[in-house]
Amino acid sequence: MAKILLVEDNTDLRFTVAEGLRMENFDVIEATNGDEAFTILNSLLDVDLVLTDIQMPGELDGLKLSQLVKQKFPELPVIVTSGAIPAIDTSVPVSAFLPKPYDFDKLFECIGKLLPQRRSDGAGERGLKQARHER
Amino acid sequence: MNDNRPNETILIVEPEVLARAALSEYLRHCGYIVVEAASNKEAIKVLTEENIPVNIVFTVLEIEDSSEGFGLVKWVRQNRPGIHVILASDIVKAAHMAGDLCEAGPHLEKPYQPQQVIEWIKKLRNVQLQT
Repeated sequence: MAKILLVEDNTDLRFTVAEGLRMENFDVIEATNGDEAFTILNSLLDVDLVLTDIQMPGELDGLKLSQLVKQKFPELPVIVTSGAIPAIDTSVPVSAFLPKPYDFDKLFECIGKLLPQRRSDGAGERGLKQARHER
Repeated sequence: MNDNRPNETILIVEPEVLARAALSEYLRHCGYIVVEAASNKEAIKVLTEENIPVNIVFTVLEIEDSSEGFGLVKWVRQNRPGIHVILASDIVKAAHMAGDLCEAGPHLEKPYQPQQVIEWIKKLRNVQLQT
């Protein structure tokens, strides 16, 4: 199953989106801010796509996180979301922008384009996959 | 996935994202719906707003944050007395308590042993320290 890192500081919204993605058979790892997201990305946990809010507390907002992701993990797609249409600096690399409130159909369509071939989950225990630590 | 899964929801409160991710995934594999919170403040917000019906609060109390953890437990007992609170003193105890929840939970079995959760968290933490 494809693994999505969901970065969102609003707990209710994060839960709703995460559960919606899980119902579509995505694995979801949740981060409450950019710093947590970067910790996840630097760990053994494999991530196939990052879905991040822009405005979040902490050192890393969504756009700074996206920049770091592209520097360190250039193959990793990043979708940024926001309730306001941000004045996005076009030098900041994002794979896609989705407005809030979330439209799940558009979200799944966007993910489908960025992850055309979902990783299949082999037999065996989920959650303890020996992630390739290629970074 | 177990289609007969009842809607028991656990709110897990753990500030360390790697430990929280591992514990949450384990409990989801047991059939629980899991809401994640990184702090007591976030947890209390979830419980106050009541948009997400929570049955169990599972909080990992590391020794350094003891006042924080007990503060949450006290708040829950005063404001949401119907919610069962599980307080683990550290991540090792948390994994074993999660294993107990698995045996009491919707799937009635552990998807894997709690010791594996502990080892996985240790590995994740080691990688984090090295980066």
